[in-house]
Amino acid sequence: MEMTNDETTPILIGTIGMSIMATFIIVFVILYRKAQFKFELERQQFKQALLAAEVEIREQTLEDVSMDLHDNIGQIASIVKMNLSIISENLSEEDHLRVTEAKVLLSKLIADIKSLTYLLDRKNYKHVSLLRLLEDDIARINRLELIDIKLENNLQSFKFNSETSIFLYRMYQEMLNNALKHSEATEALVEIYTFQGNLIFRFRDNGIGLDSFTVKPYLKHSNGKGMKNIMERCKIIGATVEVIGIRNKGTSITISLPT
Amino acid sequence: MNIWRAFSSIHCLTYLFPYLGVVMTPQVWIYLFLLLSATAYGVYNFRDLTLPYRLLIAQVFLVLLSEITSQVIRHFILSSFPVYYVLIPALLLFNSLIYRTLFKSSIVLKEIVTIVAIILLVIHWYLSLCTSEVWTESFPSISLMLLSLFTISVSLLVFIQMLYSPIMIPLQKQAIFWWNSGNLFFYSVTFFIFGYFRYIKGLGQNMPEWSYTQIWLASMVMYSCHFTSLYFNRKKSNLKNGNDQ
Repeated sequence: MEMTNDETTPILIGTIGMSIMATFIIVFVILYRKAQFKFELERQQFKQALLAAEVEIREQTLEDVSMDLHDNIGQIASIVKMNLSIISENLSEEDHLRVTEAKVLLSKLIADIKSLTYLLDRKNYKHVSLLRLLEDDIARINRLELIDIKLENNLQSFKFNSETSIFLYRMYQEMLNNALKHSEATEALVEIYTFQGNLIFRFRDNGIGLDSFTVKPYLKHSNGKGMKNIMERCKIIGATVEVIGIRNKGTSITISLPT
Repeated sequence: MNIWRAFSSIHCLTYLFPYLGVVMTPQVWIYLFLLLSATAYGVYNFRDLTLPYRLLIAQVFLVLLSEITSQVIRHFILSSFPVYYVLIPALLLFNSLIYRTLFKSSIVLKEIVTIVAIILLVIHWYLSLCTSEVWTESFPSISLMLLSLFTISVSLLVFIQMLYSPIMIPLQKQAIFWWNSGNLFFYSVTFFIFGYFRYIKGLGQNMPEWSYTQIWLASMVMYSCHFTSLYFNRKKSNLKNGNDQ
């Protein structure tokens, strides 16, 4: 049966209408996906910026603490040492020995304050290599005889940018802090080397370890901020972190940074 | 919701309608089944749904009642037109309430929707009471076209709002996408069919039979989309995921 013009016109218009509607839906879906992608990108950028700001605030706080240590506590310790030197001239032998012992302890305190001041203020080691920082710090810790730390590396000619150096150094400090506070370890090994285009930074100890799970469940169960700080710093510099712990066989924290 | 009670109600209806002499085509039965399923699903999951979708269930239930009523009174007075004089303003009211709840971040849009809806309600009642012929003899087509235009405009605004405020849930799992697409589709088809045949071709009430089939198909698509939107809204509430409306 042939269709008249009267019948074909609405069908034609209806078909065009349906096509327009279908095109509209397809275009909307495409535009929406683009909008979602852009939104996710902006969210990630915002998170990164927030993390970087948090880290910057912490660094600033450490610098302030360093300044206070140097200006206040360090000065007070020096003044106390000077006063002890003055009064020690007219004392009995026994008292003189005690004052001398106190002066030795104060000298050690002043040296430690200076060392801590140096470590806390990032301005002091912006131009010092990461390896030099680690060597100095490991030497200081070994002198305290709390734990025996060794450093192994194959990075003689490797160049770090100062931001990465500072971040890795801070992460090392967190790992060391965790090892000293929680792991009951007697030995630790810090390894830095390159492998397949990545810089590998590993901290291993022989302490009480963890149950055998990886970093995400560890973070869930952990109340401490140390690991969270490490995770945040890794995100900022684009590194990944892996934590492996075996009960009574120690913990290994490995940071992998593409070079 | 007791599924068996719903079933036995349908069972009664299948006896009631022939007893009253009401004969319903398979098209109507399928349509009623879809409306009843959507209503039953919505009522069963009422607590898991957000406000706009609870209003949607009420709207679908109202459409179900009006469809049954129109089938029954058509048998007695040979016209189902009077039902639409009540249904159309009710749909306008429900659509405007639902869209108001969806324009969360824009007070201006909310107020515009409310004001336009009130104006259209006034126009509808003026046309129905003052200018229209006897309700049994004329269909409120101007009101229906105004409702269609209103819903098409607001649904396009919702699509634009979605583009400006995307959420990280796949589009096909967002309840608002299904609800809005269903509305846009049905009211576009309705607007076109009524506009073309009644006002461009000047056929008045004498639209071709196939146009009513088109409207039926479009309504099936719309209520299927509404059913899907109820499903995804309930799932979203259970997962407590995202900020979907």
